Amino acid sequence: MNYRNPELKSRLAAEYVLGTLRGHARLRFERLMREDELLRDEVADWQTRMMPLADSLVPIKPRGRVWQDIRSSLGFDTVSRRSLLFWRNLGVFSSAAAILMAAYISTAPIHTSAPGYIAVIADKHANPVWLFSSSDTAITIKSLVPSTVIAGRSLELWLLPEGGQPVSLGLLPLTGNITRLLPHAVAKLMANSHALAVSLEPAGGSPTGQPTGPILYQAPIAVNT
Amino acid sequence: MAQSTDTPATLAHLLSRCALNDQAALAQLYKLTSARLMAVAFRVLQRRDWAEDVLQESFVNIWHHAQDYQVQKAAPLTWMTHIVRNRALDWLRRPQHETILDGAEVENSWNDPAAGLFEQLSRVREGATIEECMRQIEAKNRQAIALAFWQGLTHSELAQHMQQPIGTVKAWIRRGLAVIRKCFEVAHELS
Repeated sequence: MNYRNPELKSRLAAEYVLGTLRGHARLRFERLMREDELLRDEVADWQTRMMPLADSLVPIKPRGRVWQDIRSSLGFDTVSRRSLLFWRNLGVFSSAAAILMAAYISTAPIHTSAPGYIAVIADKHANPVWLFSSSDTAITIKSLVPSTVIAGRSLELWLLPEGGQPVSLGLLPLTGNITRLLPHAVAKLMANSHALAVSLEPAGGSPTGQPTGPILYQAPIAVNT
Repeated sequence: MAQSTDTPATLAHLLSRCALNDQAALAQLYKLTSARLMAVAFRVLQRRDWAEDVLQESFVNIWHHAQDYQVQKAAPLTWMTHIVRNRALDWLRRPQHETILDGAEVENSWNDPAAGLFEQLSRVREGATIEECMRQIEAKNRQAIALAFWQGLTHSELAQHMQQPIGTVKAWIRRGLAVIRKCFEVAHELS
């Protein structure tokens, strides 16, 4: 291959950034990149083009422990004079702490992650159309048969909590799979819900946050053990 | 110095402070970028616990390589996104972590009105954006590119996943990337 061809250079740089340049071709490209400044620039250009694909993602706040783990793996939490004093005093408190700990352990609930749930959404002939499953952090909806919906409309999935308002779980895919992050507050409602419903809504989903169109399907939810 | 915004200049300054072992700079950098970078890791891995592990590894990496960052080559967030995505794809390639998603889901992220709205609200940018350019690509080509970008699939994995001959998938990718290149060039000429 003629790596001096600028068209080819750009193409290889693009596939390098995309990740589809693999194996020997990738190693060879990396070797060339070390010697060729223009090739490095081409790669940088492609990174600048492609990485903003991440800009449209909805930010997700990591849990507090992540920053603590970063600090400790970088050795930011070094032993200071103050902590030496802490260790000296520790002996005095340790017996008291042991008693408190014993009391805590005997009363604390056993902490396990929330169970997952599943539901099959079927049409009026009892043919399964969607498979819904959830973990404690995400939901997945799988379209089992391709569906159609009239132009300008969308199908929206709702969680029906016991004695509460329906909560939107987003739009249903007409084909393929969708996985979405499950907000903690909604995950908690899951345990208190026995059914899902599907309504016909304007394209993009209900403008009010509550179902506005007819309920087309309902499905019971089962615990996925 | 008040640094509460995530402008490229601020982030670049914080990275240069990290290169000088300024721990407070890393703390500030984390505060400004962790939620966006977490979204990148989650996008690839689809699991919060894995995404958090990758985020942690990435920030350790960013700290150690802050001196390698070159402001003239890439915007700070581009550089950091690149690190997080690479880490996440490496993680995904470990045999026990494979969670290949259906292509439709990947493609849907361009059709999701909520994501579009967010994008409009959060960003004002000159010239072409990758989202605009992606929309100019034919659906199949776009899906192949998205799968490669977010799931790290090889040509042969893509061919298997999309049930097409490998030559077809390669051509789709090549055509899609050519459209992106052209789209950016046109935007560049116009601006």
